[in-house]
Amino acid sequence: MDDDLIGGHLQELRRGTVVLACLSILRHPGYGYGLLEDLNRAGLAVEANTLYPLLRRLEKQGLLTSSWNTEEARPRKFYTTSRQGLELLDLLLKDWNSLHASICQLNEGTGS
Amino acid sequence: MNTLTDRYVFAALSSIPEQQRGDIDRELRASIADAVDARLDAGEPPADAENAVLAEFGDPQRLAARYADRPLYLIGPELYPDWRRILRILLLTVVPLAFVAATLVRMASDPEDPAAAFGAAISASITALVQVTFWVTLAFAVIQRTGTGRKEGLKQWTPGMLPQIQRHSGISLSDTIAAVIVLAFFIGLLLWQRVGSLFYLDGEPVLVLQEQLWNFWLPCIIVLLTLEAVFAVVVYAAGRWTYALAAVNAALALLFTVPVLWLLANERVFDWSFLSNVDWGAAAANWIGTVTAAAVAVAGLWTIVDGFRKARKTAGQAAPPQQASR
Repeated sequence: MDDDLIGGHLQELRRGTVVLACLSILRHPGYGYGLLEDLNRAGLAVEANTLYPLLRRLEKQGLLTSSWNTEEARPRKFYTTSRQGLELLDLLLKDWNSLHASICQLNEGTGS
Repeated sequence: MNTLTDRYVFAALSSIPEQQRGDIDRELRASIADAVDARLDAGEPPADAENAVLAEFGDPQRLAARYADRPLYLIGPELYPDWRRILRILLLTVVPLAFVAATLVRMASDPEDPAAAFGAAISASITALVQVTFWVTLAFAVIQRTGTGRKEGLKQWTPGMLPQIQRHSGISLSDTIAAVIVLAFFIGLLLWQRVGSLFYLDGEPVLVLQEQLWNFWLPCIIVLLTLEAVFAVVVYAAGRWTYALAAVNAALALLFTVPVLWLLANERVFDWSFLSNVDWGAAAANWIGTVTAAAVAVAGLWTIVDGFRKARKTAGQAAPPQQASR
């Protein structure tokens, strides 16, 4: 099958999961580049120029809180999932699970 | 030290609102430095590392737009259909109007120069095209950016807005417009003949048509030509040729062709004095009359036959939808 075709559909499928992954990882405070690494390690390849603006948007929406850590040589902005963010994460995870169940059900008996 | 990073951050921040800059500046620099460090740890030379990281970040304009939550397009998919619809309607009305208006004004002010009138009309049409496109697009870009009616276009779409199905009857909008323009051109030519002339001898307009035609026949013919233009629009609105329309078409063509042929046969059309001025004489008068008569007859006949031919073609096509659904 055409690689572009596969890539396009995979990207489409994963687009919405970046927010879910960020809210999950940031239950423990994290900073931009570290988060980028974590996401890549988890197999969610996100571009830097997408992730950094996204973090600010989530913060503006009240889903993340942030604070500057200036104790180390390089000051970094640390983000943490807020209480509102945790509530959303809970909702998204429920939806994720029900989607997963539905998709599994749809493919029952086809084996893989 | 970090000249390239400095330039990158500067380029990205320049279009971001002032109060957000300081924070984004610090964060962006830290993120870039982290990424560069990671590459240095992997053994890349410093210059290459910085270059590669910034290349990954991509066009600073794009990054800035994402930070500021600005669209990276002029008119988005929500507004594009409305933009296209409105632009189309305006262009189809304003551009032909500009053409006709410019021709009329130019002919009235300077009847001696048909080429200049045509040039002015073309230039007015192009100006109208550019102006309309520019202002409509600007208005839509402003609507896009200010976010008014952003969700689903300017107006909620309803099934009632669906256009009627165009049956394949050969009535295209461009054909209709062309027909109306040709008729308008003829009317203009006749009116112009009244004020000036196509031909000039020693700066004096030469009357080609007999003056007494204006008492009755020419006004009739101008009314007829106008009716034919209206008829072309009616046929377009109807969307298809029917035998009834073909009959009206034939009647209009006969109303035009028969009197004109009769007038030509009775030597009541051309003012032959213009021929004596250019020293041509009676033989020329004869063939000009004959050629004109033949052209009028052929054109009339063609119009009539064409109408019935199209009507038959439409009648032979698949049944209209309301019958099919029963």
